[in-house]
Amino acid sequence: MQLLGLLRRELRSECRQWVVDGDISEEQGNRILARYDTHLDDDADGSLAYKVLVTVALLFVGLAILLLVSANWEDIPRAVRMLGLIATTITLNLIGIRGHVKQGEGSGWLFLGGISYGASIMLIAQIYHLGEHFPDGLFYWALGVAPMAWLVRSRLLALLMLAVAFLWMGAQGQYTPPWAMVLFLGVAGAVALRAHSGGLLLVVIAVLVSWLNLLLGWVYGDGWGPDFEAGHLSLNMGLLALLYAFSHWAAQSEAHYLRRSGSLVGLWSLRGYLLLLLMFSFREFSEGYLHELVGLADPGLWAGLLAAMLASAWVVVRRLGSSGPRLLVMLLPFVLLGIHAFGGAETALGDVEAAAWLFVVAVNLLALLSAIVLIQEGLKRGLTQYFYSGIVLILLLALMRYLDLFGDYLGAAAMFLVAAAVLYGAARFWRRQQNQEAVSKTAAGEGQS
Amino acid sequence: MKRCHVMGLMVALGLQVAVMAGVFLGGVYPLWVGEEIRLETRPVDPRDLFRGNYARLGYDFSTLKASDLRPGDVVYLPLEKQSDEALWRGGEPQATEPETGLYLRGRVSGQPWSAGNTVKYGIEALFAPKEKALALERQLRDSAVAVVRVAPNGKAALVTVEAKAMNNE
Repeated sequence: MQLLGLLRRELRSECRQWVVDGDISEEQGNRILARYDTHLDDDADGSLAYKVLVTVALLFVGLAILLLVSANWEDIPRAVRMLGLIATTITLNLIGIRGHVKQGEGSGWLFLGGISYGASIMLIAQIYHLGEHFPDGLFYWALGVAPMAWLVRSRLLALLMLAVAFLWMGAQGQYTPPWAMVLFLGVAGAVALRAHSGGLLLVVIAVLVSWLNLLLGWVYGDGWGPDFEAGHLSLNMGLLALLYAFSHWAAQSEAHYLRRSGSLVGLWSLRGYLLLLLMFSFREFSEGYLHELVGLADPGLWAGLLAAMLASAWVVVRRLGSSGPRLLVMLLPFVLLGIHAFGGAETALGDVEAAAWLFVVAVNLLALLSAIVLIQEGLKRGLTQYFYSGIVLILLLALMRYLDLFGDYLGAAAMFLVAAAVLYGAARFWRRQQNQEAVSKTAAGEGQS
Repeated sequence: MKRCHVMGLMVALGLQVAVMAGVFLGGVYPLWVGEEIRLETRPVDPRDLFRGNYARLGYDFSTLKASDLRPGDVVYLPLEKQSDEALWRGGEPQATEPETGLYLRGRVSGQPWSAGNTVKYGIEALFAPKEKALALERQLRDSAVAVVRVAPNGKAALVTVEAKAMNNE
């Protein structure tokens, strides 16, 4: 996991300082930075600042256009208003197309053209009082920007399209399942791959996860609208495993942008996993979750199972990640089946409360083990994020269990003692391993001399 | 290759122009070919993030009671003219297109609440500058009349909203 690759600006400035101080040569500096797809003379900082400022300025111009349209200029004749905005849209796009064809630039003009195009749709709707179904306007807006974004490979246009499509998904998703999102996600994903944009790829993944959750909501909603049920947590467990597999696959890629996005997805999937663990470590939450599951017929189970099995196959075939998390991913399909068998079979297997109790104990132990693995991995591989995630998890766990007194005073005390024993055992085990490593190193050194 | 790329970009721009034209034609079609009718309505004033201020118009026939229709289903509402006044009223909504008479074509859009669905016929919003929208809301608070043009295929377009008293004169 190339977490350091996420801090390229800091790396560049550090390396420049080392070169100035004479600690390393310029060539060495460049060789170090080449591992992270950059070099000492990389002026990306300046151009990034320029690009960010210009993008924000363009966004503000776009918002100004939308507000001007919203102001409803009734005194200006309809035709003048409408033709004015349509002509503006065509002109901005033509300038953008010219710039793109001649100098490979012009995405700023096309971005403004895209906003002007959306504003034109809204203006026509305003002039003719088209209030029938407002998500349609957003859909047409995203649809019109999509081919331009794809042809120009513009991240900016793809982001505009995805932002409008996301709004459409939220609005339309209340009435019908927003199937057409597959088109927008496909276009944005293709632009991310063609433009080598890790940032856009991350946005696509985030929107994809939201979309899948909404679609599952429609499966629960029985045709009337989306419903969000306990089974969504099962889906998201599977998706987290899939994201974990993706992040480790991307981390091995030759492409730097994939490695960077893999690092970020890995970090966020880890955070999502820890958040789920913390949520499930509460008895009330777990009990509610198990109560609400529909058993083995739960659509959330099958969606989560599909994602988890794909993730399992991926990590096993490509041997992704370290052994602990890989085992967790491989076990997830069985865990999901087990949870749903217990939760849904309230009538068949009896007491859900007893099942919830066992479940919460297992989750707390898993959280403890996860914290230990994170601390060890963090120290062994020099990954600060993992180390501190483990420390924070263990402290949060202790604090929460101390406050909620799971199993009353005696139960909580027993759990703390078990946790202390596990921690102590892990520390001893690790120390023994380190001693063995030191002994074998010394033996190897003596052998050489 | 470059020529193909430029052609592609021009087609993409053409698509935008076609969508704008489509939205425009969809809006003006009932105004061009439709028959003018008057419907009783009640305005309220919200703001749309993209289209500005508007008066939202509610009709008696906007809510379907105890129906099996789902969001997205098309609904046809036969219109009947009242004998003693200039107003038109909605009849019994149906799932099939009426063979005769004037009717509105709508779409079930809301979730079921209070044992009914919301249906939108495309005549629920009157866009106006902020002050005018607020004035309309005050002026037409109790009851108003929506002037609507209805095309033969049931598609309707809102022309304006008047005070009910003006209509009865």
